[in-house]
Amino acid sequence: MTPTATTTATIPTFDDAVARYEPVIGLETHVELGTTSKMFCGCSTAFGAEPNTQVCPTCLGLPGSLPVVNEAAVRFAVMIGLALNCSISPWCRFARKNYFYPDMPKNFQISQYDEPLCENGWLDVEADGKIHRVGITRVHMEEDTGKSLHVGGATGRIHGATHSLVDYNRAGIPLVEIVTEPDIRSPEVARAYVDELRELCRALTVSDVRMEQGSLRCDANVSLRPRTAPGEPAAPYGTRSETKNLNSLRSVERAVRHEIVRQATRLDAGLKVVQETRHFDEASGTTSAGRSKEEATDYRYFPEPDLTPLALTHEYVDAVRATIPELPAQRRARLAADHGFTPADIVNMRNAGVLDLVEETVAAGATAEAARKWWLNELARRAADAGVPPIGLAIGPFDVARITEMIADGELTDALARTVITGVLAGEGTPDEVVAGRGLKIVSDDGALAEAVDKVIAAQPAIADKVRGGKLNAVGPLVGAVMKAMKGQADPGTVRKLLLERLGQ
Amino acid sequence: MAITRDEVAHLARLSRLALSEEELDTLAPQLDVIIGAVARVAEVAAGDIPPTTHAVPLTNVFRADITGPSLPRTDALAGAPATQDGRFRVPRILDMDE
Amino acid sequence: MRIGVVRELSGDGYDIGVRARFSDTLEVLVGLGAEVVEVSCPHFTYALPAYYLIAPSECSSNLARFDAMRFGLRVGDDGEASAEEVMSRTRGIGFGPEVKRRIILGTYALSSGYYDAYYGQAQKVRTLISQDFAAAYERVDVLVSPTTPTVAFRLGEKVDDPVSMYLSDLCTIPSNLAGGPAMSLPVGLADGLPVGFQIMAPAFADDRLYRVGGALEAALEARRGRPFLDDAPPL
Repeated sequence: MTPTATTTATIPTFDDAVARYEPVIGLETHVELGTTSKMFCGCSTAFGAEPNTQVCPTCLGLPGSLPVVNEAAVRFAVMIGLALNCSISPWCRFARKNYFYPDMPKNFQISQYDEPLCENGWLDVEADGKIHRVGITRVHMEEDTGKSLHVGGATGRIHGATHSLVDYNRAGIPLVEIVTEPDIRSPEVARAYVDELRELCRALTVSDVRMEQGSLRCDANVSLRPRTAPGEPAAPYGTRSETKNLNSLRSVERAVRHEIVRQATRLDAGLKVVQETRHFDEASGTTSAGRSKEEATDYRYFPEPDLTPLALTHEYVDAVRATIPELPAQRRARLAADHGFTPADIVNMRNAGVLDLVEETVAAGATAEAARKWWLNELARRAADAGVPPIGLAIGPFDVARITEMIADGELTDALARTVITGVLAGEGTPDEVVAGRGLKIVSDDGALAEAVDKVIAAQPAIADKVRGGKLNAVGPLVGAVMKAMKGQADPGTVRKLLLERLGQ
Repeated sequence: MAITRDEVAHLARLSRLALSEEELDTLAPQLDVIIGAVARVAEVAAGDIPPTTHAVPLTNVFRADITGPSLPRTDALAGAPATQDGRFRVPRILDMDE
Repeated sequence: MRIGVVRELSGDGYDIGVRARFSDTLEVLVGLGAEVVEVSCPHFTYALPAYYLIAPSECSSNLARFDAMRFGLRVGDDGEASAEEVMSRTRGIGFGPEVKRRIILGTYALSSGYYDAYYGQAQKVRTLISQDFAAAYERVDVLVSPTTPTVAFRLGEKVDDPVSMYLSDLCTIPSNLAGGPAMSLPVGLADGLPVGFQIMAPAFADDRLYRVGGALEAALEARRGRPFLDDAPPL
């Protein structure tokens, strides 16, 4: 166990820690590629299958089996590299990383070592209203390991377990590891980087990037160095810790934040930061050191003799480049320019899963503001109530565009529009069919409305007198009563106007 | 350079081989002789010679991203020393990074 | 057919009987109309050390999958031992002495700090050996040599003298490193034990082996009046 500094020093606040020390953060992110089959064999990559039903001699590492590279995995990795502004290596090899671990069938991982597929790129990240350029050191390919279930200990933890049960369905699924330069200086930027990388992979459709399922996992390298006065040279990097397997954006930010405070506490107490692997505990929000290694790991990397080198031609890389769609940053710029959306609007729509739907609704004729409002509020809520993503609702951009058009034309109130949505979701047809079927058009100026207004005035003489006496705000309950009598099929503005006229105001 | 018994013991740990004291005693001098003999490769001046990694000079051997049949689970588990709940049962695992 | 005798695969370390059978066979080939010339493959003398770095290195990695987790033997799983310990116990018991020796040697040769001097350099030597082959095949159609420098040694005789044991692979290793096809043909006896004659060809020119080997086998059988196998002692 490393001595805990908490017993020897007071703990600085985060703000105090970063006022005196500059955090230096680099991230290593593993992204599972969304190929249909595994990296080196034809087994399915589908998530959630029964254990050990998506395995074969190759991904089980049985003697005599040989790997063959999945072209789509290479293509996806090149797409990621290009999207991250990397240069693509014209010639590189796979390498074996040798270490024994039961979830690794061959006891070596096919990876890349000193010849990564992609190198020297960058990703621009928005945080605190600024753009932060994060350097990308490398993007390399490797295969995933199996998964172990630890039995007999407390709550599935590896410590105290009596034995483990291994499922190799995940073994051999293609991964890329994306390594940044130590360019990140705050937990917020670390989180924003992972968020942006996730959006980028999603836009490229190379991964489903579901952190909760482990298809995107992040390790954070954190160190501190004393801040120096402006004009003075920066201090050398401090000793770093590596916090492994952060599986949510929130965990990335919390773990980095905790490491900054923990390391500052140690440095304040005159202790050294130990170069070690640490684990983040979601419940406590803290990191803890692992068992210290008896001897340094020696992975004995060497070029994988069972695979031929990759020698991707300019033509191949250019063909892949041509398939790269609009990237998140370009899209944000376009959405702001074309529709006036703010960065916050975009984040909200994206997080609600409605950004594509809003765009399609605008394309179908709605105004940007109306499309944003209806998808982000009413429709996102309906989706949440139904337990489906918004795209899974039985109402689409064309329907929503038509509804917003009817509102704009004064044919529907917002309340009526919600009824129309209910009708469309219930399978009653298009918005026009629902309006016709349910008789939902606004009754704006006919005898029925005038009659309802008179009835309400007669039924509520006390309130009517208040309004006659000049208390215009008192008209509200009367408007509500008329709307109720009209079953919502009236425009509240018109009703208010009529009531005030009748009451001499 | 002589290879020591301690080095052999370290290599045995790295390669997950439980060796007896006798094996360590005989292996250290044998390896020393073998390494002395194979170190002759250093006599060849090969500064600008590219290393061979594959006997046949092929590149870009790919398969299409198509799924093929996996093993039936009973076959996948058939050779296992122990199984439980459709999984390979293994002794308790020490945390790799800890 | 031009046949090249590899100069580096002959000489002092070769048994007199092996050399005699080899020269007899060359004469048979000349009698069949082949042109026999001597060629030099200077880097073949480094084939053996290169091989005994490359093969153990790759073996140490290839054999790592024999770990008692997914298939095969498992030793010492007493409910207390960790997976790591069970792996070590099983591998310690399951592998024989030569395998263990190679795993340790390969693990050493791949270790950080040694990689460039050993595995990396051996792979460069391998390139030079391939270049020797390519140059030789500019001049000849096939290369020939004895298959082994000596006739068979007794089972277990050299287990404690691995370097001497490895020397018996001297002639067959160059083709293995370069990835070319090779064939060994029994051509007679020395000290009552069979002597092999090795024929080597460029990659994807396996047909030359069968043409030379087939003609030679027929000629030798005609000369003896019976198949070589008839002289084998009863088991």
